[in-house]
Amino acid sequence: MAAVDPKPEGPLNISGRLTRYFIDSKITILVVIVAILAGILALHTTPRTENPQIVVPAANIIVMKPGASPREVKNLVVDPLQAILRGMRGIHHTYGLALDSMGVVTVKFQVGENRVASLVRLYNKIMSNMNRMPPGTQQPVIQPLDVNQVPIVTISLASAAMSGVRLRAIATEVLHHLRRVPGTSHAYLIGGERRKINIVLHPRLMRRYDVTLDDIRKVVQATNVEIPSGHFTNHNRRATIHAGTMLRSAKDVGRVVVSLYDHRPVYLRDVATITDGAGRIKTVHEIGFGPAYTHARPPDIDVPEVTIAIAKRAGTNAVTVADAVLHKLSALQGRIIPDTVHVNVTRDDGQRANSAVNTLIEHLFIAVATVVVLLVVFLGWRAAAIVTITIPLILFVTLAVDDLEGQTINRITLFALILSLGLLVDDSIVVIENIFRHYAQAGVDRVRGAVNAVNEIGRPTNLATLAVIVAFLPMLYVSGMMGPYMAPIPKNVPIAMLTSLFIAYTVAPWAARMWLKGEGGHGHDRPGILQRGYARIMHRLLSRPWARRGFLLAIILVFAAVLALPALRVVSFKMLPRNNNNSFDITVRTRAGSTLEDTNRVITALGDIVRRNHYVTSYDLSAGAMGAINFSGLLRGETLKKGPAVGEVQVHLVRKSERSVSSIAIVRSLRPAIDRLAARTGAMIKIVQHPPGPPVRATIMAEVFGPSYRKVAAIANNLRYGLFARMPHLAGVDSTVPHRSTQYIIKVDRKEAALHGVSAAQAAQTLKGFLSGMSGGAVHIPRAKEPVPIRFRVPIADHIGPYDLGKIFVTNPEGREIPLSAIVRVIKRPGPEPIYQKDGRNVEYVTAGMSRGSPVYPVLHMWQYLKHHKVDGVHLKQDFMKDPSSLHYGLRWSGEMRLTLNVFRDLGSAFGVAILLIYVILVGYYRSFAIPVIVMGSIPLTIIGVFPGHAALGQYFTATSMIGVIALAGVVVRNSLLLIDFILDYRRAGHALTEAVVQAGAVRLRPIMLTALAIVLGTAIMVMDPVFGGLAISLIFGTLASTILTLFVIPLGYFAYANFSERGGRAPRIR
Amino acid sequence: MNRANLWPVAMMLALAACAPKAPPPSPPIVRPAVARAVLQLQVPADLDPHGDVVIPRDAIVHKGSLPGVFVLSKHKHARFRLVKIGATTAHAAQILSGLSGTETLVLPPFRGVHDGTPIHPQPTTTRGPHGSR
Repeated sequence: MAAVDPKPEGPLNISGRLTRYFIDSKITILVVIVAILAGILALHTTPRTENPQIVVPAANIIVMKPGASPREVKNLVVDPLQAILRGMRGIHHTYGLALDSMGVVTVKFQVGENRVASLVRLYNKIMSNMNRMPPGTQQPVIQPLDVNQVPIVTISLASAAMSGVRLRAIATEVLHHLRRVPGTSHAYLIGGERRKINIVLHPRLMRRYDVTLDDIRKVVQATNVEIPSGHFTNHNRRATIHAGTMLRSAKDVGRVVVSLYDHRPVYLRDVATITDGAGRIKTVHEIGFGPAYTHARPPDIDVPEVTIAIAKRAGTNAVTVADAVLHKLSALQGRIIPDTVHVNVTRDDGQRANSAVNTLIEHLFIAVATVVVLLVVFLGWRAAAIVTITIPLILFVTLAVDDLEGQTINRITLFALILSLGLLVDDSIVVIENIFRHYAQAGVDRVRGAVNAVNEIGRPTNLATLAVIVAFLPMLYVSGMMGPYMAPIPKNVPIAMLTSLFIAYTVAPWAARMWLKGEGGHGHDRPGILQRGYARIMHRLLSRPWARRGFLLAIILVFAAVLALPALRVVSFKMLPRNNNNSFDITVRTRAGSTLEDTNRVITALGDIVRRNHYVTSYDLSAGAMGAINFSGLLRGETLKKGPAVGEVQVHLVRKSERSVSSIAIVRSLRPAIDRLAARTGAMIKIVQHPPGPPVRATIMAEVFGPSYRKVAAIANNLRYGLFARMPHLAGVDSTVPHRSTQYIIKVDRKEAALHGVSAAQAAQTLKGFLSGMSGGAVHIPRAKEPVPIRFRVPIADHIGPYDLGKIFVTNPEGREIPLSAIVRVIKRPGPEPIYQKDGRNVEYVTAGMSRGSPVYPVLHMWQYLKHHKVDGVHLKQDFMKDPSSLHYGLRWSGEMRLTLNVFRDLGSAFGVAILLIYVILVGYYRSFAIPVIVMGSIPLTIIGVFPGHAALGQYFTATSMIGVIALAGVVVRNSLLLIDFILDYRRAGHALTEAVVQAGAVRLRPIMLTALAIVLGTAIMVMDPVFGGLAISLIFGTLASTILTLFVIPLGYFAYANFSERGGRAPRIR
Repeated sequence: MNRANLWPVAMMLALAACAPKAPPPSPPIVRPAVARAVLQLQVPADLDPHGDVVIPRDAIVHKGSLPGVFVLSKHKHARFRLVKIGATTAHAAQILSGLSGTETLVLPPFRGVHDGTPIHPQPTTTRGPHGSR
């Protein structure tokens, strides 16, 4: 490679020694075989996931304090709890929510904290501080939020003809079988109706027979006992005894004697209707089918369903677990699942991960193939073949290392491999080219020639590889969720680079010794038209100082113009673009006070809207609860949402490989109809698309803080209906400020109660029993797989209004019946409003999504507006990063904006650190402070390609684009490094400055172009990817611009520097 | 099946032929239209003293375990509507939630009526012994 005469044979450097050992060793062939076997093994055994698994330890702590108002809960439970937790190590944020009788604190640990250790510490901390909880609080419930709770497979069993109880019983049976599949963990059912023994009491009959609700409940509980009571031993036999009467069916329950009337027993069935079945409907789960559905359609539009959700154990392979589950399912069909039940797999993450990984492996092959074609054109087929052998070896070793480290194969890993493809062929190319040059000389010993060839280029090649590795390493320290998400890139690229170096020094020379022909003769040394043209231009530039200065000035001007592109918004910033998915969710929150029936109507109407789209296969409708949770929903806190006013539609589309329209466009086409529905019904409807990267609570999120919570709520409302509503492209603007709702307070008049001899507690207990029913244990049905509770209730018709209390009676100790209306007063007042807290301070959130575009610009716009305008007579102090002061009204922009800023800040610092490290290495290599600066001059040149590239393709400059820029730093330094190295070699060999500069450029032209083209062609396949397109654009355009400009700017820079030093009387130091 | 229904089927079949990999989507379901008596609810005639809608008890239908009624849609399709049932008598049922009192109910027999079935409405002459009238 080095075109200068080979140095006299000295001691070999490390590269040369490696080559000498491996070039005719039997171990080399073993290395090849081991690498191939390890790679194939890794490809099959490494767990596959779609995205890297991000460990975000988090937990909900739910504390009940019955009867306390939200303010009380906040002061007595949520505040102290947050204070306790904030003292813990590794806590990122605490979110408090004070509701009526209930407080919820969500704890988020720092990303990457050990999950188990964090949770153990959390339990410890809470349990050791239990004495600080006020009296009357119940034991806190701690729910860890775990990625491994998210179901990877959901199976829908649907039937319109079958009762919900029967369907659920079938699903329970199926679940029982599927749980036995190895690798599954958390498995549960959503929907259907639990079997219950419903006792509907008739107050009229109860009065006639003089029995009260409390009597009945006590009798039923007392009857429903059976205890092991010892054993008999007689006739040399021992038998155990159970004593008692267990209730085993609805009939049994009906035969319970509840009192005596007129000397005759009164049976429960005399005062109540007893049914065995569903009871009151609290949630509705249905499935509907779109035009793209491929199985037999049921006659109904929406069919009631039960969803079986199955999560996998940590560390198992989603692909194999999902396959095993579905295999088992097909065996159960027809045997346990009747043929009348429609079975649909509504989620299959295993298949999703597998197809994502397989697509990318396919892309990797295409990328390898294009690079190989390039090599054949440039190097001839023999050299190309040798380089080609090394590519799979390097990739295999990298995959094997991943497997050993316990990482998964995911999209990011494969992108890292595609990205490194352009870089890793380099080392082999350099080695093969130089060996080729040596062999071209007549009478060279094949072994000695190869070793010398490697020895010659060893140092610069090591250095260049090191520069690339060093560029990537700082990315490991990106904070937040983006860190672990992107981590496969800084982990895999250095591994691939090191492996490529090793393979280039061992396998490549070994293969070259065997197969490379000495007499190639495709005109290496004869300068081609490119080289001649380059030399002519360089001569002209070098000989005329004004042309030189003009050229450099022009470059600087172009650079400045390119930097203006983002400022003029020709290139827009965004954290990550949207992904083309196979499903999306629509969440619904109807107005406060809505009934389940209202919510279900909205949900059904949404089903009608999505069903019109041609790419919809099926959709799950849920009212009264959410559907099967997913990863982003888990982090958004959707496990806590339930009640008649919430609902969700999960829409499933045709697989993306078989559809020409992206899910983003489908959502956009549905949005107008959905917005109209939202306007008509007053419901809050949000479309949630699964983000390609880490999820956030909302795309745009304003946290409003301040001293008075009432004022904070007013400001938040003002923002929501004012500023946010006016911004274009914002969708689903919402806030946590609640709508007014009504609450009835039923006050027990203490004096009246005392006069009637009734305690307040008794009155409240009776009321609760009448209004919300009462549990009376469970019947014992040995075959039932779920407990069958006994529920008492009064027909709903009897408690429709708060003024029907005259129908409810309490019995006082004298046995007299007192109508409840005699001792209570009903007060109507606005319902209690929840209090939200973040990190111990009251907050209201105003949130919005984006119908299109990047959230960066609306946020900046609103920030500007609020800087100059008052809201509710208050000037809001705005912040992006730090907490606003607690004394003033303040607003912090959170959500995706915050994440974007964090990510760009972290990647920016990673870039800075990378540049510093490269500089340090170069200083060490050249033993000069100035030459590294010239070498690194090629880094800013990349920007000249990057921004216009994004502008030309109309893409956002995303976090992946930034990663591309960082990668470019390593890549282009390598080019200019070898260029400067050659110039220095020529000068050392005694050439004049001008001659050295021109000759080095002309000789390096070919390999530099080859390297650049390898990167461009290798990454070209990524351009179409919605997420990693940015990375590819950065690499392709950055490499092209930088390569072409480097060939001129770097020699000119060196020329100017050398001229300047010579004129200054000092010769530039040459090592 | 009328001619208008055939076009989407034909287009879908053509689409399916282009992509041999994916199984073709199953054709849209054909629900034969049926003639059924309907009942136009009226406010306040069909309200009880509490202000809740009262409907004929036999108009109530169950989809799985979900109690509901078939409401005639704008396009003359029977659509299932979830309701919460209050007090019932032999002939009438009080609806606590789910109906506003302006809907048109499809009356039995419900054999052949599914969620989405086209209905040829037959006006009823007698309103039946329900409601407060």
